[in-house]
Amino acid sequence: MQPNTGTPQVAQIALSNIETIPGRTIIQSLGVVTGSTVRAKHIGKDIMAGFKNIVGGELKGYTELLQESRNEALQRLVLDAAQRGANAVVNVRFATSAVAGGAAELFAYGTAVIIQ
Amino acid sequence: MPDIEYMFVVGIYTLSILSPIIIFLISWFGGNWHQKRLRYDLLAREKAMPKDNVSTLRSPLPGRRVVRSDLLAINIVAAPSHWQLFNARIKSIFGGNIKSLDKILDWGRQEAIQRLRELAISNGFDEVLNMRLETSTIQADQSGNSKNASVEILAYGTGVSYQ
Repeated sequence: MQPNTGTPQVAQIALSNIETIPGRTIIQSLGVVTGSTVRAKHIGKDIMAGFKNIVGGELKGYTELLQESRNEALQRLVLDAAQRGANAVVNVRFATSAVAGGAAELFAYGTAVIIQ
Repeated sequence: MPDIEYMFVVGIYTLSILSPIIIFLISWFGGNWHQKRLRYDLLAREKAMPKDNVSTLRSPLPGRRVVRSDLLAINIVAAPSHWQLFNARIKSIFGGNIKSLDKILDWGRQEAIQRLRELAISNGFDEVLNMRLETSTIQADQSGNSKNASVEILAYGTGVSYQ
């Protein structure tokens, strides 16, 4: 069973948001890889979020939506890295921006590297 | 039967006038109760942790050998209640510290970090390095005064387990 780390699990590609993969040595850098996605939830979830907004707190529908889209963005990043022949992506960063009401763009970028 | 028709119309009118007030009251009392419960729940979970396993260090402490690492990411969408937003709008006329929005944002951040801690533990990592927080506004219209407002808080870092 794959562990649930909040990020996609791809056997060949190691991810980290620091300069190295801890305990490994980088031998070659292959440049910047990116992945992005724009997603929206169906209107039912929007209406439910509107109701939840009355009392505040967490909007679970949107949390779920952003988690899914982040996974998709990361998957595209990993795919990009795999196409370049990398086996790790270091210094992964995330960015989010709202495109329209209820739709969000999720963006992930990092440096593809080959590690020993 | 003009009587029933009349009562129906009066009923609709009363409801349409009263419903915003009812929603407002629900938002005030219900929102305060709900958010207080969320804060207590978070506090209890934070106290149950043996030690803080999240740090913003960029590399593991010297003398430790890392055997496994992975990227961990968790997010939360936190929203103020209608009452808090109303409060904030009134306060922003006079300026100064807007406590009602402070509260929900502070809760959102702490909750995101706490979830990252729990995520690291459930995946068997000893520590999370280089934890970063990102906040972004979602669900606001072009002019920025939508009736609903919410912020997304993302916490991510590299989970490592030591030998």
